[in-house]
Amino acid sequence: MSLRVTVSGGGGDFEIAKECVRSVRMTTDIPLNSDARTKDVGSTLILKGKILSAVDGDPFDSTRQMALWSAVPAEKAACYRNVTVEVIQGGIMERKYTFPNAFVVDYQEHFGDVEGTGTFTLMLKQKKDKLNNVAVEGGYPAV
Amino acid sequence: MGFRLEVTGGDPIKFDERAIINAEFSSLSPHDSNARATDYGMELKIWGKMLFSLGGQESDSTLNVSKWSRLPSEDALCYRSAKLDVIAAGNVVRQFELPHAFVMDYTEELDDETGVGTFYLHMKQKKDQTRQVKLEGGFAGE
Repeated sequence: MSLRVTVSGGGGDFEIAKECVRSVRMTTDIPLNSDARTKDVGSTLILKGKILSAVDGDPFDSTRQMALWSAVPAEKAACYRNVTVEVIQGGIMERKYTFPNAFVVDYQEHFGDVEGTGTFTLMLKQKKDKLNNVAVEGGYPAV
Repeated sequence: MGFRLEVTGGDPIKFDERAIINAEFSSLSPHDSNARATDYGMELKIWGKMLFSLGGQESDSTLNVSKWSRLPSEDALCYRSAKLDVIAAGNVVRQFELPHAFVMDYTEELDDETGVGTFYLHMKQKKDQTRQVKLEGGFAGE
């Protein structure tokens, strides 16, 4: 399984390499106390992965860009970006999640003296009033 | 993977990879927000070993961290500059700098089994100064 994440908009397009991304979790958040279909629906993406160090003069991985994105204040337009997560398996695009107005809720990096690489957790949400723009596709050959 | 933590602005606090076990950086905002929140903060958490010094050839900074964690809020020294470097394969993978860090939590644990004690230090950037946090990395260095 290969996970490719691309972030565009906000003046800093970047791709989180498939070597880095380990898991994706997409949830639709509905209030648990609702008695009938609610209007208050949100959607969350949680990405987890590795922070790799460059060797042999390779370019550094773009994980730092996520940290910088998490530091963009709410007044700036750049805090909303377009995020695409593609899950490709055996030439098939199993899932393609698109969050066109995603913002960072949490971003964490963890480094230990055992693992050798760092790990990151990025929690994103689609701007709630733009929920209709979230796209979940899949089941077609990947190009 | 090596770590270097240096806190300046008071009694010297310095740890390296011999002492630090885990390090964590978090950029956190409220989970119930409908759009990007203004109320976001950044923090560093460090877990490490309390390496006591034999004959004074090394200085163990945990005592200074403990003093820092007990400073009252009236004291200007309770805000200090904390810098953490994460180094791997001759590269500085990350360099976090919190110029106005204060202690959120400090715990020490010692027992009669492990030989060395462990500490946990949680620091946070003063929230109105979150924009001053520097998130560097991706350059050569050891």
